[in-house]
Amino acid sequence: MSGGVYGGDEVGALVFDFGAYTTRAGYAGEDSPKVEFPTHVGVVEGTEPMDTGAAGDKPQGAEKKVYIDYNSLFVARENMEMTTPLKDGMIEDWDLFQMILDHIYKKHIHSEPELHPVLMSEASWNVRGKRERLTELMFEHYNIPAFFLSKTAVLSAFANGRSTGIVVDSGATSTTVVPVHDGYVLQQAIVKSPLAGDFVTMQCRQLFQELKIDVIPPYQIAAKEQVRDTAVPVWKKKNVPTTTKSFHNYMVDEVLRDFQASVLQLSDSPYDEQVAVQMPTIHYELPNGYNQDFGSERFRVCEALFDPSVVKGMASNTMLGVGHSVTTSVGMCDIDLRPALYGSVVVTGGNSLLSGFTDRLNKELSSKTPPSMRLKMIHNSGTAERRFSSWIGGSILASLGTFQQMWISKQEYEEAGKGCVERKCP
Amino acid sequence: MASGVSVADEVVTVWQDLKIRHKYKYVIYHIAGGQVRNQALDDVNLEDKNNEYDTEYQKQRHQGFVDVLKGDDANTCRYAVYDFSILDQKEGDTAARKTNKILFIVWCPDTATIKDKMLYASSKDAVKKALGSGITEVQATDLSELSFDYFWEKAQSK
Repeated sequence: MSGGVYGGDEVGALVFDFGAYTTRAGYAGEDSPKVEFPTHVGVVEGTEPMDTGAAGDKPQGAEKKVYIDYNSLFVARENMEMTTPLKDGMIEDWDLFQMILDHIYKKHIHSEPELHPVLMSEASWNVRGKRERLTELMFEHYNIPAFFLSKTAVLSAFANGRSTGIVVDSGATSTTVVPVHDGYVLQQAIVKSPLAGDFVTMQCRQLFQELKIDVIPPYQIAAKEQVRDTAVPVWKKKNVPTTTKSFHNYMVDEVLRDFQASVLQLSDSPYDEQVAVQMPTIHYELPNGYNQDFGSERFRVCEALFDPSVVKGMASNTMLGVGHSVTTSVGMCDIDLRPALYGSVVVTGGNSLLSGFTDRLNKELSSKTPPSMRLKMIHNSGTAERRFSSWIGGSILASLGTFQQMWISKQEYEEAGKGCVERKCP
Repeated sequence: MASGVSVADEVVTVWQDLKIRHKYKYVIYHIAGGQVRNQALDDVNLEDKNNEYDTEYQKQRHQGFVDVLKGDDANTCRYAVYDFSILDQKEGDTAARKTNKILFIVWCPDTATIKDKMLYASSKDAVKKALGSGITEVQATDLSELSFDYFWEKAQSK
């Protein structure tokens, strides 16, 4: 296919980036995604369909109702279970995935899928079967004119001006370290660790349990009153339907995530109680009005990201701290490549916005690398750039005039079948 | 994965002149109209030949190159090849060794626009393929990575 088909910079391509926590979608060429919403969806398994009495027609099993996006998802409903179509960064539940895509097309893009080429990001460790199935789905079901699949780590590295480097992506479910060389992922040296955003949220939950503070999510609160520091909160319960445990937990996690972003900080050097108590405290008020100052807890809770041994009651020695993950991954790469990798450590992902994250990582790495090794960390200071780096990378790539010859076109798909994704999008 | 940017023929012609005939000291490339093109080049003159291994002279020459490469505001991405020569004497060496190395510089300053960074990073592979083997790559994102000492360090590595 020549570049003539989609010549010019205006192709109206769409870019989708499915993350463990949120999904980003929008038009290529724009500098931030048009829409971002939770990847989690709420599913209500339908009750037994009513007997309509129609002769011969057997009920088609229970119909399930799916709620997507903030407005419908964050409403308390009976029997609504929170679930996600992704598992380990890869698509697991194709029905739900398709529903999310339908939702994006219908509610946010307001256009027909067959008019827009689609560039989608994928986990660096995605497997062949899933990539082919996705290609098939996009061409057969959505009838899109052209498709491209790109690895998130490569997009992030490119967006930071590097074609060789090691990408540290600390997201919600996992922190991944992916070495990229000349625009290709070195598959054998990928290191994944569960020490990421969700893990910190769990630690926060434990902290509140220890402090004997109930975290009440906003959906249960009808009214609250101002109270003094650490006083018993005064609030009225809202009359809501009984919700499922998964919904309640998700809502509590939302509160904790806010707490995480506003209060927590990583100390520059390994956690030391003596030093931590000297640091300024931060005041935080929970949705039900309870408020108090947080001092050394601010540092203790997230310390486990870098030093898993501080976690109580877990087989923590099996997990790698963030700094350790990076050195392990680099250690698995060719020795000639290592200087280039340490020379461009690209830090991305929402969890890396935790204050002090990059400073601490820099410190850890410089203590673990030989002094002759030049260490350079590359990270965008902007919140949006850090959270959306792979989406932005995809957006620019798909809008390049010259990129138009790289797409898998519908014609190519029809000639070569779904296997062409392996050849065109390595 | 690549951006689909191609390399103009002029790039290859001039590159051969630099590599085989040592006609140029450096060539700077930019991407224009979906192609990588020569933007600036500097001939090797008599003075260059006489002072090939004079460190002070080479430092000056290098500074001139950096000034052209980074331009006025130092926030545009570029590629460049630079014919680096130095008289090298490490600890323990009995005599100084002449080192010649052609460096391939990918200049993506931190202050460049994200679009430029993306374009130059994703097109690098095409340029590198066009230039062939036998060059040492330097990824530079700030002025310290364009410094003479850094080039020297890179020239010594494989």
